Amino acid sequence: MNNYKFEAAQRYSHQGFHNKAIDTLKELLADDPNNAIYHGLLSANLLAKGRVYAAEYELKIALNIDPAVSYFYLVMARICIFKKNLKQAFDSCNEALALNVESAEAFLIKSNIYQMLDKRKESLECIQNAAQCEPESIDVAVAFGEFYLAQNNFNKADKFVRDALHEDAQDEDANLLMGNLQLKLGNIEEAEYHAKFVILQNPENQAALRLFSNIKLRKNILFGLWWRFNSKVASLSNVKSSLVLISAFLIFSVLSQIIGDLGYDSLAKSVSYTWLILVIYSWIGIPYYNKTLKKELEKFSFNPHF
Amino acid sequence: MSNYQIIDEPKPKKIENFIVDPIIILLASIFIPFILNPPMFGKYWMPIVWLLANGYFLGSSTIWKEVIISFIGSILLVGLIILFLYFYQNPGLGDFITPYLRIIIQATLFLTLYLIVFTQANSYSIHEYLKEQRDDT
Repeated sequence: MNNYKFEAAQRYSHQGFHNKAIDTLKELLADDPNNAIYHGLLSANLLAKGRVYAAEYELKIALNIDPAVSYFYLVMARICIFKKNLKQAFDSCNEALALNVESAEAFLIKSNIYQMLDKRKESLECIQNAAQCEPESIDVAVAFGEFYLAQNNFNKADKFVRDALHEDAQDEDANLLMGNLQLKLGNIEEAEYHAKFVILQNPENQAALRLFSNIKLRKNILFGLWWRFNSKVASLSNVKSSLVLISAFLIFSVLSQIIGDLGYDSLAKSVSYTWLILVIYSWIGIPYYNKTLKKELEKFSFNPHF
Repeated sequence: MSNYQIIDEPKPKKIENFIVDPIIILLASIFIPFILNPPMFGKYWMPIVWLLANGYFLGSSTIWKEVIISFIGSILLVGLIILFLYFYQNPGLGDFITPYLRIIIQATLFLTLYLIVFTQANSYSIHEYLKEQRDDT
């Protein structure tokens, strides 16, 4: 029974249904609270939902129970990347590789870190190492595709992304990459198809939401700007959102005060109300944007042509 | 039904019905002062107390963080209000400074509220998700 549940949790996790994976793992942990693997997988899913503190806590439990599992260090590397601690992420990848020299995922995470540091040569070497470990892996093909897309080598990127989609047409990362590639090639309709496909699979995929807003921007500048603004605001962290709204309040209030001091009282009043409009908008606008997005996605139908 | 509790999951108190979306408290604290002015500087301390009570009923996993933000925010607010009253009673330089001090006081209040609300919002969204699940079963 537990094996069956664990397989389900792994499947949910792989397909991006992180809440379902978390619920299943909680049920498993209720029966077996000392299972390191359950804690490790739970940590990875919590991280995917942005619950970093809980992810770190669960990983700590997993490592206390069994510190010799390579996968745990990969989760730790992802947590470190999330917290922008690239050095520790790199060390965690090395620890994962010390426990399992053939961990393609560790090489791919290292490649990501190199890409963030703009070290292209090292990044490519890591992807090549990953390819040696797992030549048929979709993740490796996607990594090659992303690398070549970043170099604007569209032909090579296209080849790798098609290979990945040929292996699994529903893979989230491969579809996202195809969407980005098609947008760069100016094939808006195809790009939109893949973006919608990814968002339907995982509504919280920020990269897909960004791609979708870029597509909207290409179609209609004004509507696209609105779309991009909302997608940006929706993805801001709590502290950043607070700072943006407070900065807006300060700017409008001080401006209104200065205009008032200059004797333009009615204009000063309208400026001070602008902030209130912004507050009302942050309350109504974002849910409206989410509703519009949902409506757009409802029209989506899977097309085997793509 | 699982009974394993993840560390960031809230542990609501029995009076769960009093829990509201923290965004509602924030909006109320912005718009209610336009309609009525609560006594004893109420517009400054009432929303903070309401948010803390909400965090307590919710069993928010970040309640101590919320308390610390409230504490620092309240100290800053008290200091700024004292400064405002000082300049208010001393015309001259005060005439120029008081309108801007009023803006800074408001900004400090809103920043404190925003930080508490956004911190509490994580616990609230997990609470809503778990409640939905409980209602389904």
